[in-house]
Amino acid sequence: MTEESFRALYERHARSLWAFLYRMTSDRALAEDLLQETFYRFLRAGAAAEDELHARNSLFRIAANLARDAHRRRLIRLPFVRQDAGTESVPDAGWSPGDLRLDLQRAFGALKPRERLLLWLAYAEGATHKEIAAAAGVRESSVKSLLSRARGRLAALLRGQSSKEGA
Amino acid sequence: MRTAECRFEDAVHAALAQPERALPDALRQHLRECPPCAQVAAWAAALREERARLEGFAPVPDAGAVWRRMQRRAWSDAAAAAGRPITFVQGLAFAGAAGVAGACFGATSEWFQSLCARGAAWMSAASVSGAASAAAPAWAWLAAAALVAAASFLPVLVWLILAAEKR
Repeated sequence: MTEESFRALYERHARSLWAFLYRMTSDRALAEDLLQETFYRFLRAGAAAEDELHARNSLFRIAANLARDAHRRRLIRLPFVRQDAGTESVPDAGWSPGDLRLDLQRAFGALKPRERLLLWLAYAEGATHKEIAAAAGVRESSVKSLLSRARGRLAALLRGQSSKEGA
Repeated sequence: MRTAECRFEDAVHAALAQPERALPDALRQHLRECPPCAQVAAWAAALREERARLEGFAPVPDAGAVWRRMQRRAWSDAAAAAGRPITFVQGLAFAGAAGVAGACFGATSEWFQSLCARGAAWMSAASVSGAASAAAPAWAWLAAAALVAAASFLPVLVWLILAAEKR
């Protein structure tokens, strides 16, 4: 891949990948490091950037795997990780309590990594079942039921939050 | 009614994946009548907003800087991979040289030759008497253990030292 084609690929996907990784890890610095690792592994795999859909799916699959690994080993040591990087969050200015987005953000943190992955890809990224299956490493036929279960968990968490706020 | 059992689930998912397209009237009507589907639509809208917010904030590094970092890392990974067989061959060469030096020492040292002769005499005496467990002199056991340890661990030790130096 040439530098020019890499730049084009990076400009197209870096921001949405970072948003995804941040939602998976809740850590700005780690999301940035995983983003670079994602592109590095994509390049090392020799994947072609010309097939837009394939490239996007591959990038999300790599990012999802990295986020899962990072979740398993919170002290993941990657070559790009800055040693002074701590857990930072994105400012939530303008959000009022009871805001659905804020409630979702809180509930997302309590979901399992795979549930977060499925819900984010399905509803934030608008991915098809086939794309979700490719990124999550599950069978396409399982996506529907896994998504349904994830939605159920999210609904339960949101109900729990609203009952806590009401109490 | 659970969303998983809703016959419009696939249509709702497909519609949510393309929010820029206007919803068909039938689906719009369904969302008004089906609370779980309406809830999913609300989540999707909130997650898309969250994604847009995060993408606007995303502190992604410059594409050129990432490209250069990746080139450097690819080069160092390739150098490390290429160095592995060289380290192995160096270890092997050192072990061979140690073997040759040991053989020269054995051929020229009178002390070592007398040691070997005494060991051989003891072995033949033990086999003649049929007592495999005949008490061997302590020095013989010690010498045998030292030889075995040197033959086994020296090449490994050298290889480890060379590998550490390359890091």
